[in-house]
Amino acid sequence: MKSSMSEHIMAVSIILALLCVAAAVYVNDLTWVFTSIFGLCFLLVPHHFTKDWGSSYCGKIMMPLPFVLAAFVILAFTLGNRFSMFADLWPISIVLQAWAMMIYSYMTIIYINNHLTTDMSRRWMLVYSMLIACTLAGLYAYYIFLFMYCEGYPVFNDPDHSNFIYNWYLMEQMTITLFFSIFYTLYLKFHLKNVPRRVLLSYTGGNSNE
Amino acid sequence: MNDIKVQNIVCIIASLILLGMTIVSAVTSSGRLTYEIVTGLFCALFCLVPILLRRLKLITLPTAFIIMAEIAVFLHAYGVLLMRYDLVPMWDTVTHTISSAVVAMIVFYGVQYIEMHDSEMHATPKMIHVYIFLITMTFSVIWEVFEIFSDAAFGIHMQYSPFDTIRDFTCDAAGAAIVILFSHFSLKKHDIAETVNAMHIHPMFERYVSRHSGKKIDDHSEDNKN
Repeated sequence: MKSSMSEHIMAVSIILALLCVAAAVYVNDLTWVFTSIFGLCFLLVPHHFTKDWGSSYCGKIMMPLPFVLAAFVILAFTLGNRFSMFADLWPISIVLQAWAMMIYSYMTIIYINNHLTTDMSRRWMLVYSMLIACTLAGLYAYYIFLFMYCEGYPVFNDPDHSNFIYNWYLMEQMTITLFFSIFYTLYLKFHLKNVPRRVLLSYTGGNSNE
Repeated sequence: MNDIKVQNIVCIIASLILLGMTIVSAVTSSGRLTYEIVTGLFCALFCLVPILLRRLKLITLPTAFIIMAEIAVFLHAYGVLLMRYDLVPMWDTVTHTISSAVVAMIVFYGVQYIEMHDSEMHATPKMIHVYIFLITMTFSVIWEVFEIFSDAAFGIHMQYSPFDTIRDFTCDAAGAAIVILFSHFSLKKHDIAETVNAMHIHPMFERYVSRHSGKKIDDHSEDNKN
């Protein structure tokens, strides 16, 4: 993939990540705010280390990101409440978020490999990307629980009626993220098969990484 | 040799105590449910597994791990046999935390083993701490997903409420934190090779790890990485 295209993808992704924050606030789903902030930190890593705004990650990793973020922004602003937490179209939001998280997690792993005296093979890079995405989804459960508590949902044990639906509200995010991240990990295994490891780890378009 | 003696003593004493409690429980409560008796017997036998694994030359588990695992099994069986789960508040929280610490310790020793035998993997102690946290929390997510699916499929109640789920997560995170603290001091005192070699793991596991990393057992080349 040409480096100029990677630069454009990077620039668009940064702008869209910021728009995702606005969309998340609009639909009252702050998990997207956390995801976007997490993603922005690692989107800015290539520039931070190369001092070149043209630096980007490998295009094959970055390519889906603008489409995923744009899909969320567009759907959030057009669908509004139907896209908010526990609404009927919330699963679509979760799938898009899981996709974004997987890409951001892979960037995290690239950062770790390049700058933290750690070495991973391609296989382990994929595995740990998945682990980061799943861990984040698990940590978001705390926010979702707090949201449910503040909104008045029954979150404590109640022997008089089943809590299954409310358990599902809490578990929906991490369930969909878990399955999607497994699927996307398998997809990346084949999608990145012919990309040399040094290319996966490099920042394209600017100075070479360390 | 002292470590082996300590392991044997811990395992045998835990097993004997649980066996005794099971017998007392069966005798004093004539209408006792089978579940408690079976749990007591199973846990009593499970306490001897580390000795069995060592005798079969599969693995010599580290003493710290054995002590933690024995405590987890013992407290669980104790809670079932003497109804501590019902009578003592937070008993399940404590046992859950210790159980998750056991899982985190498995991850800790597993990461060290892979670090030593997989040429494509190198990690600093700080990254090992991160791996412990990531893997433990992901196991926690997988387990909770399993619970919700079991509830949906079989109409049971493995998950009681969102609060219980969050409490389980917190216990798992606490267990991971305990092991991260332990690993911090352990890695300062013992290097990875020393820890892994002391486990005397059966060579077939090393061959498996080496085969999947593309590394020959005697070949430490880095060419396989790309």
